[in-house]
Amino acid sequence: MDIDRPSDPQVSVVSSDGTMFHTTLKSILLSGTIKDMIEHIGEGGVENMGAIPLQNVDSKTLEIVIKWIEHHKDNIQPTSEEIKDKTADFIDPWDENFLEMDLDKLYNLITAANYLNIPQLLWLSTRKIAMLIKNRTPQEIRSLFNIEDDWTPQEIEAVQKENQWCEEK
Amino acid sequence: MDKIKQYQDEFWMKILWYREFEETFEFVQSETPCLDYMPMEILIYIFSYLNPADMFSVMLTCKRFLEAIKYPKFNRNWILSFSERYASQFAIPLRIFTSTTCQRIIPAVAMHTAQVDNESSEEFWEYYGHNLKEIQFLSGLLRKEEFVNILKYTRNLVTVKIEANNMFKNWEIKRCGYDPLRRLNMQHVRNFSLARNNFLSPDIFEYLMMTVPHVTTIDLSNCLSIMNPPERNKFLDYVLIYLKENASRIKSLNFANTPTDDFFLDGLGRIENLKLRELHLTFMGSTKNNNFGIPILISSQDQLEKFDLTASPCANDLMVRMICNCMHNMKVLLLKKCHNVTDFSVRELHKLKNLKSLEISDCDYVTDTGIMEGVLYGKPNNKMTELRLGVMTNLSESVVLRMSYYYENLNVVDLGGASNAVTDHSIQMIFRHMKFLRFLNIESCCKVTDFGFTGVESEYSIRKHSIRNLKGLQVLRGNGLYKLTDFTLIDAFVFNELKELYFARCNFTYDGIAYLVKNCPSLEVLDLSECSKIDDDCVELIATKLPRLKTLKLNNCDEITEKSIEIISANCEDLRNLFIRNCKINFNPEDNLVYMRSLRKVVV
Repeated sequence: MDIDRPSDPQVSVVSSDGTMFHTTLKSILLSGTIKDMIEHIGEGGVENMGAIPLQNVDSKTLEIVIKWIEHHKDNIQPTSEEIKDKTADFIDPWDENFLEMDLDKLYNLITAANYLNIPQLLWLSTRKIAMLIKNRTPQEIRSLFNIEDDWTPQEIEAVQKENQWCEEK
Repeated sequence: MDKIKQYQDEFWMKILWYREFEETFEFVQSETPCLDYMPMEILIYIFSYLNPADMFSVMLTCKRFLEAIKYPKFNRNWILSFSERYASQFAIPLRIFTSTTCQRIIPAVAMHTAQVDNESSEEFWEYYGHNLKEIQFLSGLLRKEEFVNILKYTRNLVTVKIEANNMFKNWEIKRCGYDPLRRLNMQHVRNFSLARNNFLSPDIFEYLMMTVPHVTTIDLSNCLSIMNPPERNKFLDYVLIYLKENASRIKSLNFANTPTDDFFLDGLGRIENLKLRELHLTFMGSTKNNNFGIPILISSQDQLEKFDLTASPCANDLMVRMICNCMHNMKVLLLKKCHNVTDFSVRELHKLKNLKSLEISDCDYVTDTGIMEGVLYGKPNNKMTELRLGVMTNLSESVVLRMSYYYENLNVVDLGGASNAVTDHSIQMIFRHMKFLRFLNIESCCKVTDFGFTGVESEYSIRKHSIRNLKGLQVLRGNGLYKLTDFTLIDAFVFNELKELYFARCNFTYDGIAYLVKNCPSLEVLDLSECSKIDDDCVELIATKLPRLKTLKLNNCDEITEKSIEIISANCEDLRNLFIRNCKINFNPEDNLVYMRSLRKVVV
């Protein structure tokens, strides 16, 4: 079915807590999961489809996702294979600004991007976390992300001893 | 409409099913999201942005992170490297890697020494061996029995490297009767290296090759140099016989720095069914006969993707022109130190449309004309990622200017010693356009000043392009840029990814170093040799602020004293190599350094 029609029909999505959001077909197709679904519906289905329930995404997160996909609906999205050079630091200033959010929201965004299969958004949001981890000590990582230390001193020593013999290839 | 409804129902049924069985969906609605409760696949995705040093931090954070780091793809970046500790009498404690204590399995092992803890050795190989994909024997004499004994546990090896000069010196092959080598059969081995061996004989080669029946890559580089010519020829003749018998399987050969003659190359070129992907040669011989030796080889190998002719004094224009005309699949072409190659053939390099990497370093006769017409000509080739034009004093600024926008996406640029080409103006253009640089070599390009690096001409002028633009820079070689001052370090050096920095023979002082260690926390290799103003205070900064430092070079630094050694031994927990040659240190530095557990090599 040809989904690249000139008109851009309205589509509604419903979050897990029942809030309905309106967006356009072009935007929503950035999500691989929804694109797969719509492609299977068949001719003429899109207009009559009704709201798409997204039971794994809450309304706060869905609002953020929709903001992102609407901004990027006209950009060419790279496939996950194309997102190779992961250390590249050149991201759009809009995206940089967009990702200024607290960690809880960021976690939710990552899970939503993963579930909705939006490679570019997943790349951006996970990269953001990775940049926070970079150049930090284990203790700093723990306090930054509020992670409990479940190692015993003996175990830590064992891992450190092993690492002493490890080298980069 | 019903159809749609039906499909929707099916679709959501499927999602519900996923929710029950896939870990991914369990955490979506958890009350307080937390990084260590993220699904494993997402943790792996996040950690794949990190470099190995960051991964070491991550795995010590919590157990779940260690589980994520165990992901096989990450393990491929590491190797267990058993080299002797500095000034240590102890054998390498293999027992920490045996079943009861081992936390992590790394699928590659390099044996730099035979001095291992013999009691746990057997246990180690028994427990670890079947996980190994790669093994390297890099020095030390191993008896044949010991060798066989280790390899009988390593059934899944893909890569075997035996690169120890005199490993085979005392090996005797029993032609008649039983030989322990016959017990070995390494079915999975694809890459086999005998580089750096000077005691090879046809017998040993034959027996070793029998143990690796499916090999596709053979490395015989840096071999045979001290053998006498008749023996060497006998060996090479045997290699030809082997290659003839196995021609269809062999895809890559490496003879770099191994003396091969025209007769051998001719023989190689005439083997039917031999279609190599990769070939490394040091071409020494020369004949006037165009139908003999290397021309035959080049015309027969039209599938070649990587051709390394580094340091071939007899590689000439004729050969390079043949390469440009025959080998259309060529991706990597290395012509370093091929002194006979000139503009005449370099200008034809544009015929190779698939080139990814090109090196023409140190070819004295190549000038602007050749590079402009051969490399920077026509439609840019998008696949190119690496361009090395080192030690080319003939090149001028205009080549670098053109390169900077012609090949914007290069990752590796080597202009070391191209002292006329690299100026403030041309380096500014590099910083302006080439944002994806990972490796930059501008050693001894001493025309470069602070303005080139920072883009600041005077206090009141508008800032132009700073080296800060290269956000992903990992390696910077800037030895001998003596015009740079602290201003460059203070103003421009903010790199999250920078791992190796070489600034020997520069004039940096305490103030600059203070900013450097603060803004480049990933540094693992730092060379400040012959920097006359480096003193104990600078060393203290380096030792305390760069926790990841692995190699530190401070040769010929007159100001540093015993105090520096104390500071280094107290603070650098992961330092592996220390170079302090010709420093005015009076006492024996070993007194302090022997207690550093990580230290492998000290050059005094």
